[in-house]
Amino acid sequence: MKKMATLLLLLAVSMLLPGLGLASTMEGQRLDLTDHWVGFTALAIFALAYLLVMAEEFTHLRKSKPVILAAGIIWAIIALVYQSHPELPVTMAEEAVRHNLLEYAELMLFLLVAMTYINAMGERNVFEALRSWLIQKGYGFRKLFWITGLLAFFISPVADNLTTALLMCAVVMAVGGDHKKFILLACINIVVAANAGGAFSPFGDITTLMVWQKGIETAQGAVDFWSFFILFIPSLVNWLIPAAIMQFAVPDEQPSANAEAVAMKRGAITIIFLFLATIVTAVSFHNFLHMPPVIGMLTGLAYLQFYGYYLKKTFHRERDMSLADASEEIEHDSRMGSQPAGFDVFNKLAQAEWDTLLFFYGVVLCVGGLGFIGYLGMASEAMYVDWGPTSANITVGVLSAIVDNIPVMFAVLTMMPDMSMGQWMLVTLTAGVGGSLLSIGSAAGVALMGQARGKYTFFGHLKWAPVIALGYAGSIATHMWVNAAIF
Amino acid sequence: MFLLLFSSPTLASHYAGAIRTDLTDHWVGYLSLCLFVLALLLVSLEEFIGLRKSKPIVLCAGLIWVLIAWHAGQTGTSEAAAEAVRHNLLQYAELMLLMLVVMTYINAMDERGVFRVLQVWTAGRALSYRQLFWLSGISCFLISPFLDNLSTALLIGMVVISIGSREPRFIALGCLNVVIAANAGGVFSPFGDITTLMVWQQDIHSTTEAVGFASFFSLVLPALVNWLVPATIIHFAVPDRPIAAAMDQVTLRRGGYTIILLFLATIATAVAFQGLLRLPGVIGMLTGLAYLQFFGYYLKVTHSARETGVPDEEQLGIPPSAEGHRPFDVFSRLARSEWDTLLFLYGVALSVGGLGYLGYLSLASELMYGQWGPTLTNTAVGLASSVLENIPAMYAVLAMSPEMSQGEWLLVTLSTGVGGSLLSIGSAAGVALMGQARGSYTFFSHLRWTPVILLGYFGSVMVHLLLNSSRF
Repeated sequence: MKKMATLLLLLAVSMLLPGLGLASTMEGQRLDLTDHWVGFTALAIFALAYLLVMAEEFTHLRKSKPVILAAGIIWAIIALVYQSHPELPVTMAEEAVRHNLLEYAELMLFLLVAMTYINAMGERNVFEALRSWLIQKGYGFRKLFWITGLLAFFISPVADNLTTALLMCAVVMAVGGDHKKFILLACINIVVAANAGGAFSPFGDITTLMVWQKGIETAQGAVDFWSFFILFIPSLVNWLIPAAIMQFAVPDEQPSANAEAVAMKRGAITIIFLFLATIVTAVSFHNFLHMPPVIGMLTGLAYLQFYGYYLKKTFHRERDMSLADASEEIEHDSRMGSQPAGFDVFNKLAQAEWDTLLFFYGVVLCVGGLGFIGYLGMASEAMYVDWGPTSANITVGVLSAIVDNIPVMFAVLTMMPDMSMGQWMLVTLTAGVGGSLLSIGSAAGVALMGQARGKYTFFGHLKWAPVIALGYAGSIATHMWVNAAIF
Repeated sequence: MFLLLFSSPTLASHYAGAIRTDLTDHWVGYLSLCLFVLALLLVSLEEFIGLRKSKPIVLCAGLIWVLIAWHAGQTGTSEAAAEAVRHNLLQYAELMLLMLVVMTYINAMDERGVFRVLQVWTAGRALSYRQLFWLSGISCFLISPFLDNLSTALLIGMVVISIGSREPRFIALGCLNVVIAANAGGVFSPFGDITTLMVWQQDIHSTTEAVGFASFFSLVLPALVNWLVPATIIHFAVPDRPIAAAMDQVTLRRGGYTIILLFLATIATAVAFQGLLRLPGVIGMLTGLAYLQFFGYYLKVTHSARETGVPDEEQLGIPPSAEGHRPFDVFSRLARSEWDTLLFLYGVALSVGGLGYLGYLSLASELMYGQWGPTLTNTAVGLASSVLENIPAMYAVLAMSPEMSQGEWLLVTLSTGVGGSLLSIGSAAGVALMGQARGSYTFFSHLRWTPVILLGYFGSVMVHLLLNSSRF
């Protein structure tokens, strides 16, 4: 198995290299360093860092660590070269790196707020309640297979696909018990459904979010929040084809597990509404006010903060205590240095996935650096000009099954090929659902391999890859057919 | 009245957020001002109502930009507004990432017992609180020119807080001293303070002499006065007792020294990025975070093999910390950052940026430079920067680029740098320490000493006017 994995890694790197042999839209008389030692060194460092990222499963070196270091080194050597060219403006490299930093900051703050809300809902038992409700209904395995898939498909456009997958996996594990085969099939189903469901909503998938935030202008109009919804039917096809085939392999039995009812905590419903309000705020900031959506998200965070203040002040109602008793208890808790019993919004913020957020930083700066050197332009030239956009976009999806889809999408966005709306939607779709082909292709898959260790595995997923590929081809065909008008 | 004033093209790229629109007479402007004042009021009442300071200001920032964006939509200037808000966001992001890295290192050192060891060490030396007060101040003043003032204040502040943990009164005074010293120390070095950096990078050709790197060092004595005057007075309020003896022996947990060295390496990286490579220092800081991450990986991998044999804290009679015997995890260190502080800085950066976009800052500086003359104005800018942030205040001045002598440019550098010491919310260092020493060092505990700090402020301005009179 290890050998196979190593082989895969090598394959991935070799595919990644030409893929990222790519240039940027940097204006001015930027140096072309693609033939310079700096370019080669940067490429080698990035490849090495990526190798470490893919080996995370074996080394347990979290994925953010190598890419952050690589980003620092790449930009340092770039700056070194620019220092030796006094005829260029001194701030050139600085401006380029600031540009990347801003890009990162917008996405990071956006994700931070979303993660905070999801954590807050988790703390208020929203997900637990859903889980216990599903189990208590007493459905058979086939029904549960469809229900968890359907829920994953419809929750992931709102929450992100990673969270959705984790939540549904928890349900599957709870009802599946020791039934390994059911758990494997249900997990594959969840990963496919969560990725497909995320593809048509900027809140569902980071890559879709990236395309949305970029505010792309095409010949068929600007890519705005609503334009992604034309991907709904292709996404649905992407999930339905493999699910319909896999369901025949699902045992037609009754699960034996049962669980106690869990009630949501006080304020849970309000927090769900506030999250929806936050999404509405972010969308309106973008659509009506023409401001970066991240500002709307942070404003939405303030809603949760103020509601948290209310929850804290009225904490005594939650425990049927008098006001004095409750404040004494909170005081006591904070003196003892433990987590306060009441709702604390900063606590939820702190629980964000820092590894993912920092990984993102590293990727944005590394790819940005390679772009500044001139590689992105090269690849863009090769793929989008020589092959044409359709095959290039389909390749992007297949690539994203092996490497993370974030850097791939970032590379595409940095190249900024001149494409029609339909092509932009195609690349959004492929980057979003292409990751379902392999278990390591998407954050959801990687997370479930950890959560259902030993039951949902790389090879268990690989066995069904042909079926998933069928869905991939089906969704692309559907998109080309249904949305032919915008190509 | 919709007057569109576009700033000079050279500055537009650098200070896109500084001036664009003049809405100072419009209801949008008035409403934004009211919102900001209201938010600041709620911030200063934090101690009494228990509403954490970031909450009102984050909402206020959002509302101000809603107003601006709505108005921009009406007048077709949406793109300029979006660019301005992005500019503010970038500024904030750099500050935030920098703080995140420093806080992570400090938390990591704390987890490895560095500060507890320091606490025990000082107890062994029988230092008094007054000695500690001066020691921390001096080291702040000396470190801040190399490291930036925020990181310095966080680091030394943490030492003060952990050593003085049994004396809340001392913590309040110690933190106050640290903030003043860090701000004063940063002012005469482009690496010490963002505003000084801004002046340096602008390559100003004043009416007398260019404002070069070396010219900032003529501010050393004024800056020293700025710190010494209040410190000497506060000195008498510091308890003259030996520091309450801490518990028995503690040993540094494995890797403690290495983490300190890595922190120094991180600072060196950041300074090298900024000074030699001309890249933003924050990139260097984040590269330095990777050092800690890799070392954390090493600690984790070698955890069970080596650490079990070592006597742990429990056996030494120290209450086990929450982390107990758990291996080192860099992400949990990162997560323990002061989120209230980080979000507060977001709110301030965007709110003040919004007010700047509305034209208030340039209105003020224009009025003042025109009517009061440069010396008075430059002094006043410093006072203003204690309420507003000093970065936007400096933007407004740089965007105006008034015709001034080198001495005047240095004066405004000095005043915006140290003016923030007047209130605890005036500088990032003060805000950060309010978060770290929650409950002891507060807005009001700082405010009580503002007259004394003001004395130091005017003292430093006087010294500069006298000492560097040849530069005017």
